[in-house]
Amino acid sequence: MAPVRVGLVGCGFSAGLHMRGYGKLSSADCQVAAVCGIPKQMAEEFAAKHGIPQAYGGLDEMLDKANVDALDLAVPNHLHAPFIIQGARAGKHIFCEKPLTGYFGPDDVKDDDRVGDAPKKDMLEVAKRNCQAVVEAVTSAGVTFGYAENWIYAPGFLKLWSMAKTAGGTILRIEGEESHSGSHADYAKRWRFSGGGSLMVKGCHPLSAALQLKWWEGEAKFGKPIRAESVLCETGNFTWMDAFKREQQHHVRTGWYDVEDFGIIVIKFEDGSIAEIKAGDTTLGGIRNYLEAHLSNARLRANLNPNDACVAYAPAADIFDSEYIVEKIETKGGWSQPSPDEEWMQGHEQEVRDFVLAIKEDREPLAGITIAQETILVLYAAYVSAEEGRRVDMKPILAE
Amino acid sequence: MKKINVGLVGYGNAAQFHMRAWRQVDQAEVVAVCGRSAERAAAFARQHDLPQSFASMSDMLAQVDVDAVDLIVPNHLHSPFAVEAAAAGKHIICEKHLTGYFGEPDTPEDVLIGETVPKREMLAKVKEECDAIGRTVREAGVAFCYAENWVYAPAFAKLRRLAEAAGGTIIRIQAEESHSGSPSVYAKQWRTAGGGSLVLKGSHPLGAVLQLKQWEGQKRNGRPIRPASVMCEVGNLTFIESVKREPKHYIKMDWKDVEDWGVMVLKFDDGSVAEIAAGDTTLGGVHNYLEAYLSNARIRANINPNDACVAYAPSPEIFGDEYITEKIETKGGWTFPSPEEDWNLGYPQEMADFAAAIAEGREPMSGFMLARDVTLVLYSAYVSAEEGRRVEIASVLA
Repeated sequence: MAPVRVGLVGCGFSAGLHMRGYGKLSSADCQVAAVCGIPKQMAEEFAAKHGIPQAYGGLDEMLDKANVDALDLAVPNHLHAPFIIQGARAGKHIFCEKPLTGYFGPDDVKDDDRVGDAPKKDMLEVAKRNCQAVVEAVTSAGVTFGYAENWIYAPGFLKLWSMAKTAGGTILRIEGEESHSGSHADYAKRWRFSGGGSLMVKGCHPLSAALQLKWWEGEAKFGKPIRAESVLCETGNFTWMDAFKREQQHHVRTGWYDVEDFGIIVIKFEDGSIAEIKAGDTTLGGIRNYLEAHLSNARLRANLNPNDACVAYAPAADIFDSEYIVEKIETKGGWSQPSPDEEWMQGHEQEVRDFVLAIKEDREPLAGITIAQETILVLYAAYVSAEEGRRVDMKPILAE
Repeated sequence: MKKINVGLVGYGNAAQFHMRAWRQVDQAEVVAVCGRSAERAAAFARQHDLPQSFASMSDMLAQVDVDAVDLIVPNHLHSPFAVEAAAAGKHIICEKHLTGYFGEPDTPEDVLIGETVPKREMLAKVKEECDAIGRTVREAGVAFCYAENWVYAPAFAKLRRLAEAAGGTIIRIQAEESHSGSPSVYAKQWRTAGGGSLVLKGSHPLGAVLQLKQWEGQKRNGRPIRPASVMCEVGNLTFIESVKREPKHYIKMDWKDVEDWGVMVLKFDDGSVAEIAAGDTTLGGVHNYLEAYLSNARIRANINPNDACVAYAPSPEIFGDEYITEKIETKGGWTFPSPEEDWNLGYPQEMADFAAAIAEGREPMSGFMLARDVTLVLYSAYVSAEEGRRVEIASVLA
């Protein structure tokens, strides 16, 4: 079979990450044939830097002119659903960054609108409709959908699942978190572009991994997935605290517009087990990504980042110079845990490889549309819980 | 320096480590012990070389001149004993918890009160009782020392000093106490325990969390920061069907009408958040930690386990009878033995503060407000879990 011809949509941070993944694949398996972005000049610069033959000023133009089999959507969250639908209708396989979709305001939304102030139960309805539209488009087009949830491909997480399967005990409790000292991207601070705050942008990672774990456990043991039954959620805006605002120097990012900068979701699954998912944009010390599973006969922890594969110490912050330590660490001084190969450890390379090979081998990728959709529904139910201060029943929400 | 004469009330397991702790405090002396069985009280007195023993607290208070009583009795007896001691003008050292809901005097033995009594009703009763104790203590003008050892654990005390030096806002706290399950049948039913994992284990990290925010508020504004609301979820992870079917259990089973896992999410009146988890279903030895996220620092107190000492044994019998750490299931493989558990858990440190506080007529670091807040937050959390909603607690605590 000919190599899969990929059209990259977007030329920002995620696009760069994905390029590293494609770079590790054989050119007999895949070729990045084109990239598009707005303005076109950015796409051209990106193409020149990465040796991509063609650059376009937008998805319409690329679909019109380029010969590609698959689209890699590395664009802001609010563009995922419309681009997936457009791409699937054009018969392209889709590789989509997380989260799948969400609520981004009414049709006539303006960039400065405080979209996050809308009632969360209305958001949930819209997010659910968006999910259904995406699933419908992908299913009826019969294209492959790969969900770029790197946690599901992270070696630490897959080893944890492999050990859990061997142990065979019941997964009683899962704890998972993604936190750091705040996204740099401004669109992460506005509901209009991100569809939510810390929980949406960061929490979706450990959430998907936890949902996937219980899904797999159910399939392995009972031939059907174990799904979420209820959620309880609390959110916070720590950077809006009076004592915080009065401080002279801020070490965590500020400027959150209408989204939370911290959240915790407590999920109760239909078998009675629990997951605690946490996410924050106010956590110092570098990125903190982990998932711990408490089984009835074992305890397993995947330290995605940091872990102590490499440990370093420097008496002053300038000693390691420009050498990369780990995402969002504020200083290179003192003890640190440098990540030896972040793309590999976080599963970024592996997700790209699986998507390409799934197309070539005509099979489902490991992370597909089901977990992508489940994640969004749990997230927005969690926002309802936090806003209304009550436990939210997932059964009617997950029902078709 | 005035020595504080202490009378122990109770001679059980906890009395042993209290006794060891008192022995390390110059400023206090244990002069008597009392308990329901005169024989067992006498045996305890002999073991620890105490001059006198009694079959009741009333006898002890009538015959010995003690300054303070150390209540190491089951939770449901804290309230009556505290009231009696305060009325007699004695300072009080009280093991956690201050009090709880254990049913009514006429509730039949076989009624599972954890499943039948609405948590809202429990909260109302518990609040009444807390306030009754508070009134008596206040009117008698005695000190109330709440024996929450986490407040005094060296790792947590260091965390507090580092937080003070950093001076940043404490925006988030995570804390937990979990292990693979209490062996005692009393822990497994509401009637004797007054709750499940949250009450028996969660009260420790909760006490430390509340103390930390109280302390932060005092330092910054001259008044404590207290919780404004709580959201809580509880579970019975040992009731999961597939767990019940497993041929071998490594975690304790047979919980009756209490939860074996819970998490509370507190929002404080300054907007900060604390997540407190507690479980009786966690393998790997006791898991006690508190992590504070400040706006300009991050500090973690690994009370247990920590890597002050790290050991490895290719098979479990190699370390023989040597103590490793609480509730560890095997001594094989890598372990984190606790070098000196009493010190690590803050027992001698709390007794030293209590003796000094009584002698100096000041509030102990862990006093009545903390004892009351812990109890009321716990029962408010139960209301939240039962009713599936966020519970406002500012008015409950007022």
